[in-house]
Amino acid sequence: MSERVIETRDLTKYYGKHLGVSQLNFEVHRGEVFGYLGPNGAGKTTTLRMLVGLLVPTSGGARVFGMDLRKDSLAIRREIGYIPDDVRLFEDLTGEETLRLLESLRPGKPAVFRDELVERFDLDLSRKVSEYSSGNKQKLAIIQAFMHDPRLLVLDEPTSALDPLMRHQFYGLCREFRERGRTVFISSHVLPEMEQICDWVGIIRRGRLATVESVSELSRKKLRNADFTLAAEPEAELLDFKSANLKRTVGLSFQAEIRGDMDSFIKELSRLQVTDLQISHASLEEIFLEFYRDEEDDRP
Amino acid sequence: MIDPELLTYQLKARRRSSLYFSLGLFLWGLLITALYPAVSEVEAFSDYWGQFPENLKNLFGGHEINILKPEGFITLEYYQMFLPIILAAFAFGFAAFCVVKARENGSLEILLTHPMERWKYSLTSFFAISIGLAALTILAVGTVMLVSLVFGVDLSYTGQLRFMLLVFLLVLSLGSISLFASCVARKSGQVYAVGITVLAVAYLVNFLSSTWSFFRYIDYALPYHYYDPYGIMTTAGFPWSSLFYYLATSIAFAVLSVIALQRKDITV
Repeated sequence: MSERVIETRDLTKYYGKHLGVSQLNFEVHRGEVFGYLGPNGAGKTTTLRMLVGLLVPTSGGARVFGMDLRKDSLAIRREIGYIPDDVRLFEDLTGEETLRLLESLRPGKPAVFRDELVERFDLDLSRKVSEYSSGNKQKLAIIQAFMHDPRLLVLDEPTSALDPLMRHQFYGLCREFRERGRTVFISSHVLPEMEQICDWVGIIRRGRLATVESVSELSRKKLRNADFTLAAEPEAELLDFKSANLKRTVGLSFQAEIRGDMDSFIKELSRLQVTDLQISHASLEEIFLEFYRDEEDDRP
Repeated sequence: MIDPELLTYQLKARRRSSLYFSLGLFLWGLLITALYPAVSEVEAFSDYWGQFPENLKNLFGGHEINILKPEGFITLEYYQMFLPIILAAFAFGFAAFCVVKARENGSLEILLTHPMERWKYSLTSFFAISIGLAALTILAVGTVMLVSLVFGVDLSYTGQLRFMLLVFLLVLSLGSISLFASCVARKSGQVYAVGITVLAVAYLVNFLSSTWSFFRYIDYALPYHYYDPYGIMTTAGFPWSSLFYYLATSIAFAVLSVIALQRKDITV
């Protein structure tokens, strides 16, 4: 197994009595892109802020590159590039001055990709940050996070202010870094894009980790959709499936949302005269929504 | 101990504010010092001051002040109240900028995710405030010294230099208190509130202590007790207790700032 880059053990954060995150346990390995998904207030930003040393865990802990989050925070931060959730940089400085200041805070880690990234994201560094649009501020945040070639990138909603073209650029950059053995820990709401770049996803809800699985495994074993057409109208009780939610789309065509065991669904379907059948895996977005549908069901 | 790049950034970021404060102090110093030769010849002015009740005189710097002496006039019009208030306002703004405003505008988050120790951030901020205050103090007192030379005002330069050190240490201790407030506050307004309260309470208690002995004991703990601009300019000895009090307060609150930021969760 490849090197563990992040390893959390019962990582917990309370803000006074209010729960931030509770007992998080997950691992991220070298060269992986790990997507951290959840709605607003679920605890994504709290987790990321603990990993970069901005928040002190209430209990539990984490190791990053084998180093303890509390004791070795400085050494960990040497290896990290970070993009905050709400990008607000130094308004008084120009883009150039901002990058120079941040580069100076990493002695021995030159900004080797600075010029390449500036060109790639087409950013005018001579202007003051206060004059930048939110998209340009986001580009500057991306450049400062990637420019010194960090071994771990911790990115909190990094594409929220980018146009589609720049998002494409950004995800290309993440892939390149992954290919070079760098690790990316990213939170985002743009689920179709996460599906494209992530190897693993962790889904967090109400401060607790609901699941951590590989994207391909999650799609394979969780939710599936089946579209089928029948030869004739069946008896009503035959349409009462236990393994799936059935919805008539048009005429004799139906759509089934399969939950759990595929074998049970096939057996129930075999009682009918099927003329056409198409099974597809659910998108990450559908899986994500399914988790939160379960959460709604859990509520009293 | 300090980060030179961060220090440069913090000083540079406050350059506009420093410029406005410098301009104001220069103009006020010029005006007050240039006025003295004319005012000193008006006997009615001295008589007017002499008619003040002692309590009221204490409010403006003490009944023993001789306003016919340049040191007395400048104390009354500038050094006793106006200069410390202006320098303290600069210190409160600078301290708020360094931590709580930096947290509000997101720059602290970016800086502290870089490999920089938090104690270094706090100490660098303390040094930046010290440098800013030192520059403004030199400018303020330097203006008085220079203008007194031009207008032939007979001021003791040694006294001015001793006063320069005293007022610098006073506002440094206030800056240090407000830096601590900045490290624990949630909003920048709270830093100004703490600073203004400390300054106002200290001044008021100092004034009340001249009338009611009860306040004398409280006054010993507060900064204005150790601030006597007229005394330091006109007597030979140096008030070592003032030096010790201000240095101890500045160092104590700088250390508390380091501890407070070290333990603080950085949220926006």
